[in-house]
Amino acid sequence: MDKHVKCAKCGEELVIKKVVIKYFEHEFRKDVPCCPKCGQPYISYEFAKGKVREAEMELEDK
Amino acid sequence: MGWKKMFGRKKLPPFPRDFWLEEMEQARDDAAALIVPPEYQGRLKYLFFPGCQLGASDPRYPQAVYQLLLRAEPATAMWLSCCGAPSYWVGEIEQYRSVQAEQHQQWESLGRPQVVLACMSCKKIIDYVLPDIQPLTVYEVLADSGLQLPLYPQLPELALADPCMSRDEPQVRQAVCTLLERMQVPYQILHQDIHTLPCCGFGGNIEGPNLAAAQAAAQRRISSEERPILAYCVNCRDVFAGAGKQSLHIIDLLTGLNGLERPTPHLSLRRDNRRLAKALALGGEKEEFLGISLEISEETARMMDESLLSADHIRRLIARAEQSGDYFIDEQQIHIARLPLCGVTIWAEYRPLGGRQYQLISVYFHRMEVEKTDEAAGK
Ligand SMILES: [Zn+2]
Repeated sequence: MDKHVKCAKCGEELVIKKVVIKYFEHEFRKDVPCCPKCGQPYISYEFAKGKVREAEMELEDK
Repeated sequence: MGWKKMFGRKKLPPFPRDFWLEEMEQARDDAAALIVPPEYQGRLKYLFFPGCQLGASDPRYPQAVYQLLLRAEPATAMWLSCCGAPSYWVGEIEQYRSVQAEQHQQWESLGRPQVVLACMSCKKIIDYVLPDIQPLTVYEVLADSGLQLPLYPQLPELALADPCMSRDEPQVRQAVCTLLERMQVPYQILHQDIHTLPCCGFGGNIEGPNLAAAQAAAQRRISSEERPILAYCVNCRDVFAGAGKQSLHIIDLLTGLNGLERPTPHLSLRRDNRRLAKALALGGEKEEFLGISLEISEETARMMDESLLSADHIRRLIARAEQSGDYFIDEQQIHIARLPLCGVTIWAEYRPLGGRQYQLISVYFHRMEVEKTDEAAGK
C-alpha cells in the first residue's frame, strides 16, 4: 500500500484481506486493505478509479 | 450500451434521479421561507414565488427581485420554495400533485394574492395543475410598473433567447422586450417563431442520465451565435454560461447584479446557495446543513457537479463518520470515510479544521458493494 492508512476506530494499521465484491448478480473475491480488528475494507481513490471502475464497466457491457 | 440496457431493466441505482428530488425537497424544506410585510398581512396584492432555481443560481437574485417588486407594490410577499417541477420531470406524479395541493392551500391562506413568478417552468406547471391561480411573471409586473430602470445603451447587441417553456406565452416575451426597450438594451430575438422554440437542455432530467447530452443541446442552440446571450430563464442562462457563452439574465440588467462573464454555478453547491438566499431574505446568517461548514475547491466542486453529488451528501458522510468514529486516517491526519447512497458508495477524504469545519480534499465513488469477510488473505 502506497499510503499509510489506519482504522481510526481501532487504531490498527490495515492489512490485506480477501473481501467479497458484489455487482448486480455478479460476485467475486478480491484482496483489499482492511482493518485487522473490525474488518472494515478501505477502497482507495486509485483502487476505485482503476480496478473497480474497470470491473464495473466490463460487467455493464455484458 | 450496457449502461442503457441496465437502466432500462431498472438495474442501475436511481442515483441521478434522486438528485433532483432531493433538490426539490431541500428547496421546500430547509431553504424555504415566507416573508410577509407585517403591515400588509391579510391584504397582500402580490405573492412573489422565485422558484427553486433562481436562488440556487445566484443567492442574491430572489431578494434583489423582491426589492424591485416592493418598490412597485409594497403589499408584496415572497415565498421561497419549489413548484414541484423536479418530481414531474422524474415521473413522480403523486408527489407532484401533493406539492401543488400544498401550494394551493398556502395561496388560499394568504388571501389569494396575485402570484408572480420568475420561472417559466413554474408557470407551465401552475397553469396546468392549478389554473385558478392565474400567475403572472415578474417581467409582466415590472413592465407594467412605472418603475425607473437602469439604462444600458452602451451594451453590445445581445441575442434574446426565450426559454422553451415560453412557447405558448407570447405576452411574457412581449413584457421582456418592453423592459429591454425601457432600459435601452440593444438586442435581437434569437429565435423569432415562439411556437417552435428549441430547448437549452436543462430540465426534463437530461443531466441526470447524460450530462453530455444536455451540454450538446446547449451547444447546438448557440454554437453559431456570436453575440452574448440574454435569457429570462435562469436555467437557460446557466446552461449557456456552462457551454462557454457570455450570458446574462434579464434580472442582471434590472438589478445590476452580474456582468456578462458570470460562470455557470456549481450543481453541487446549489443547496448552499438556496440556504444563503434564505438568509439574505430573512436578514440572518446562513445555516449550515448538519452544522457542518465545508471548504470545497473549484476542481472538487466541478468533479462533484459531474457526478451529481451535492455538498450536503458530503456533510452527511462527515457527520456519520465523525459521530461513529468509523473512518480511516492517513499519516497527514486526513480522514477517509464512506457513505452508502442510493446504491452507490461515496468516499471522501477530508481534513478537520477544528469545530465543525472541514476541508474537502477529494471525493470518489463506486457502484460495487464491498463486503468484509473473516478470511485472511491467502496470497
Ligand atoms: Zn477497525
